[in-house]
Amino acid sequence: MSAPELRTALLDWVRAHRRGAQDAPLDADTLLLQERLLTSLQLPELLLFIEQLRGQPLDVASIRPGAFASVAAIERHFFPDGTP
Amino acid sequence: MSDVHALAARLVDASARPDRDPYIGIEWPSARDAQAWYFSPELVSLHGMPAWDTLDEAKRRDLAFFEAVNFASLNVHGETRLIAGLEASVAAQPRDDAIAAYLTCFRDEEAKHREAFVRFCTQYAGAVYPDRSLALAPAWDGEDAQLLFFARVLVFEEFVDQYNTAMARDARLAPVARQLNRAHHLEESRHLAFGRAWLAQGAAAGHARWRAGEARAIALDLADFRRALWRDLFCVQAWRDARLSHADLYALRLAALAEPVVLAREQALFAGVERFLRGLGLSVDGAAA
Repeated sequence: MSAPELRTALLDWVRAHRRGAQDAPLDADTLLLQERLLTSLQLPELLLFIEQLRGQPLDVASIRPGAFASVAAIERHFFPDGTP
Repeated sequence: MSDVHALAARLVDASARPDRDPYIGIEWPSARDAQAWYFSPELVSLHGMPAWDTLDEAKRRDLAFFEAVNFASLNVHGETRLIAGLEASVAAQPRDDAIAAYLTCFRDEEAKHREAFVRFCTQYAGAVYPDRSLALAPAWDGEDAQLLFFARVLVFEEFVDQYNTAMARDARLAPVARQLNRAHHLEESRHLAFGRAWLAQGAAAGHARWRAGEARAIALDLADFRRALWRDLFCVQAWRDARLSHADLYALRLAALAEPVVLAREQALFAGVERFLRGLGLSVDGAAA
């Protein structure tokens, strides 16, 4: 999976699970938690999606909410090489 | 004295009787019996699906055991949050109040339940599965935060209690699994009685102060909470520990969750609490937009 494909996959996931107004703009820098597009109740599912993309489990205890601040933050935190 | 105060006073008396402590009689073998069931097979997440049908009996028992560990772990983490919330609620009540006294019993019983679930996980599986939830800044405060807390507690306890009730009378289960489910069910029935009365009172007060859309926002949160509880039962770590041979357990999970039989099971599991919340104007289809 290339970096643009990864971004598309993450944005598609957020679109499918977002809360609040469904037509509000969404891009890689949208603040997912601050804007309440995602709440704490969607994060376990997002973690599983990230694990699936990475192909391995995550050490959940070491993850801070800031890692989910935006799609760009998710990419930086979980995919530091830019791709899964 | 309000109806809730009178109920709380009665529940304090019932909680205080040591002869009624169902945890005292639990017998804890030193190790897991690999020939025994620890979770009713019909309650295993994959039951009724091709992934279940292809497993032999020993594999099914392994899967059931690790799903029991997951279920106990979910209880440990749920009760940890519950205990913290109850402590805050006790502090917010007047001293010497019957409700404060009952919330203290409630907290102490939850601490005991958590200890038993921790023991089950550590003694038979080596560890409690990690908590996969992340705490964020709360979206509600004051009375609304309290109401949402008790509503979530009720949804959580109703959900757990259905599993406890079924497994407490499942003669196929190892005695320790059956006894643990039975003990939890017996004490949770008091918590459920209190939770329903407390929530009914809180929802009535809430409807008197909420602006348009506020009840619906709480209802949406509860629907998300209920969905998250259900999905937590489909635990990739348990499936990995049971050595399921699927190449992509995450894909298996999503496929299982979309199965009509699973959706029907989810609906049946939460039908009772959903009906109760609808009566309080706190379900998505019953709350004013």
